[in-house]
Amino acid sequence: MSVLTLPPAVRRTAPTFGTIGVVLTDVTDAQVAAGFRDGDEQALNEAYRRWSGLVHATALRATGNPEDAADITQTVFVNAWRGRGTYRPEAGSLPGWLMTITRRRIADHWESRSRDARTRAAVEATEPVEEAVPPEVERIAAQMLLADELDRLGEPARRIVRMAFYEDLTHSQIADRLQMPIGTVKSHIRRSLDRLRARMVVEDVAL
Amino acid sequence: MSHSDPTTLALVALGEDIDPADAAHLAQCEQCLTEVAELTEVVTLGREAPIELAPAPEHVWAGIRAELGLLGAPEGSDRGRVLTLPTAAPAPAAEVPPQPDTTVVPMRPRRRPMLGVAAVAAAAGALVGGGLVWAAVDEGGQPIGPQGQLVAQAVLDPLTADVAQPGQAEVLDSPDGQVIRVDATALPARDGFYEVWLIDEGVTKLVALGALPAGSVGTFTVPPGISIEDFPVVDISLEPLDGDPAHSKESLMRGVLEV
Repeated sequence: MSVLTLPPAVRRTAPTFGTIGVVLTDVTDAQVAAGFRDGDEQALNEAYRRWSGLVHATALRATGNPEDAADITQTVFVNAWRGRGTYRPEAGSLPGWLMTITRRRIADHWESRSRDARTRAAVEATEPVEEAVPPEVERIAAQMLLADELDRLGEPARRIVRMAFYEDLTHSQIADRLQMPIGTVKSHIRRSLDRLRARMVVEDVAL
Repeated sequence: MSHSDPTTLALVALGEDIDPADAAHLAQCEQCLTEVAELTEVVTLGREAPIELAPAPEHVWAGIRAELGLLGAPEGSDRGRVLTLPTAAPAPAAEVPPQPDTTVVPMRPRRRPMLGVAAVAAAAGALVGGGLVWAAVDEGGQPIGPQGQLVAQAVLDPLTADVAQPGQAEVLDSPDGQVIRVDATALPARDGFYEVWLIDEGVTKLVALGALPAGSVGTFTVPPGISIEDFPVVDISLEPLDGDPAHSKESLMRGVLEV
């Protein structure tokens, strides 16, 4: 189903006891995106809750500096909220759009670093120092998207995939440790890899 | 020859050994190889990825709200602009007739989070909350003696006109962990009940401490694992008797704990 077919997320109703206390786990990403586009502050909160980790972790790995990562995260959400009128849900997911902004802000960050280095070199009349090499931002973004999607896998799939990824256990070792049938472990692995791959495709990560 | 089993291809992508027949097929099947290559890329990205995404520091959210001018909005000005997201998975659009803006959104009954289970609920009033933590609640008001070392305190400013006097909150170290003593003797009796909450500075998380009888002093356990440095805001809300565990949005007193 296309996100375009969703009903409008924002209704201007007077709050009553009956209309508050929304359990946001019931709200889909697409609904958060639609609310965000329409200027619903609650959708901003929810978007921040869901995706600020993704943005921040990407900025942190790309800059290697906690302060820069915090600044970039703040700028990304401020830019996104102010520019929400230009966000088109039909063109991509909200986290995908946030990550596009994140990549740009990271690029700006590196550009201003090398500009500073050139200025310093000019002022000090020295040979330009070797410029800091921008990291592979696309790659980092893809890694973080993957971490995010992995975190969204339900149990026991998440646990199984983590054991396979990070503990380097074979499927039979995992089955052994979790006391699960080998076939169950195998199908969790396959389904999870499919889901992770699907997220990469949705977010336009070249595989 | 038939293609390899999809789960086998996933295991190859993870670097596991496979039996010779599968290996022989794989060596000559472009389709299966492409599949393995894509899955391998997923595995590689996954192994390069951090196990947990590093969350942004607390101050970032406050910074965003400040920069966007969403902080310090007068009490109640957020009303009607918050908590307007629909709750349930939407029906297909064809089945949803256009509705005028004044239509009250039909809400499906929300899930009742069980005590002690983390659940995401919605915040309230000027609190434009995101995800809220529903912590294990001590059935409030237990008369734990006020002995113990004073750790932090707060003046609870009245937020409505009919509460004339501020309240007080004190956090004390006790042998059983931290307790918070909340003096709200100025609160008049009203329909419903008063509930005490701890809220984080970014106003994204909320912990319910328990009910407080009108005009009384209550002592509550600060749930183990909850730090008052992370949840420095003490809030007292008026809750209707509707069995809904979420914050009612009607805060009557609030203050920030100072260590």
